[in-house]
Amino acid sequence: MAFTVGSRARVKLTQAVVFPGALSQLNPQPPTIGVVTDNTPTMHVIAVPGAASFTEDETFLEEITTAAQIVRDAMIDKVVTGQISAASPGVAAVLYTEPYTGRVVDVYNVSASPKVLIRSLSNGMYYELPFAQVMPLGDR
Amino acid sequence: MANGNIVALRISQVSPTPEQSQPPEFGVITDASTPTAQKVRWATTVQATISGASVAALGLDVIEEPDAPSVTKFRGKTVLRIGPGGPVTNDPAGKTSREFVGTVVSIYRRTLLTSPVGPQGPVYLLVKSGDLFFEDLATQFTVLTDR
Repeated sequence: MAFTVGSRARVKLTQAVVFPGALSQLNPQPPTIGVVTDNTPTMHVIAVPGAASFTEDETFLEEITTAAQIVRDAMIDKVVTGQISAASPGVAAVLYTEPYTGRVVDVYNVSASPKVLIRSLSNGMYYELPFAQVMPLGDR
Repeated sequence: MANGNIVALRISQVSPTPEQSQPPEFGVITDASTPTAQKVRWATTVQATISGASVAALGLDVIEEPDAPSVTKFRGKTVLRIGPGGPVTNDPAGKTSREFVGTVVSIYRRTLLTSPVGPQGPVYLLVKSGDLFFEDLATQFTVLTDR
């Protein structure tokens, strides 16, 4: 399936998504995301800020598309952290430790799955989590 | 080794390694048809042909899924490398300076490129401490419980 000209794309560094948040944080710091400028059925030309375009088979790329507005509204301009386990009756949610608290940089879909790109307030680390594993922090 | 494998340059086995690139770089094999000259698309978008006298000489490790216990232990945690002398009384980090406390960027196995298919190598953590990235065996880290 060819990507859409104008959508964003990056090199695919995700294999089996068995443990979300484990293997997936291999993207550059800061992330390198380009724009699809041309297509054949399987080869895509990607323009990257500060660099020349490159052409690559879609097998080795991930297309990044716009997340649903409701998802974006829930995350944009929020301070958030990762969630190890969700809250349940009588049990509070278990959150990532304080150094992971960060600002939401972007919200987008990767292979139709909503993701949140976060930048840590303490050390500037960029990390990406599934939308369902991110918790906005109140009073921040 | 196969197309689609995520790879990284092999790091020194001396801990801590002085050759750790900042930040670390990972790529994906896009053409493994010639085992001694494989093409890698690095995440920074540059494509390079990594050539060597043998597959082992390419100096690449395959980055693969970690085990579930390692993910449970380290995901979302604050860690500190254990000092060279190992844990000491009242300090599981063995007197490592707290300035090295870090957040876990990623958890994965490093498997030799020449190994059979399937996650086999030891589990590593990629950690960011302040503005410094470093990578080491997961067994070399302790989780801080007061952060």
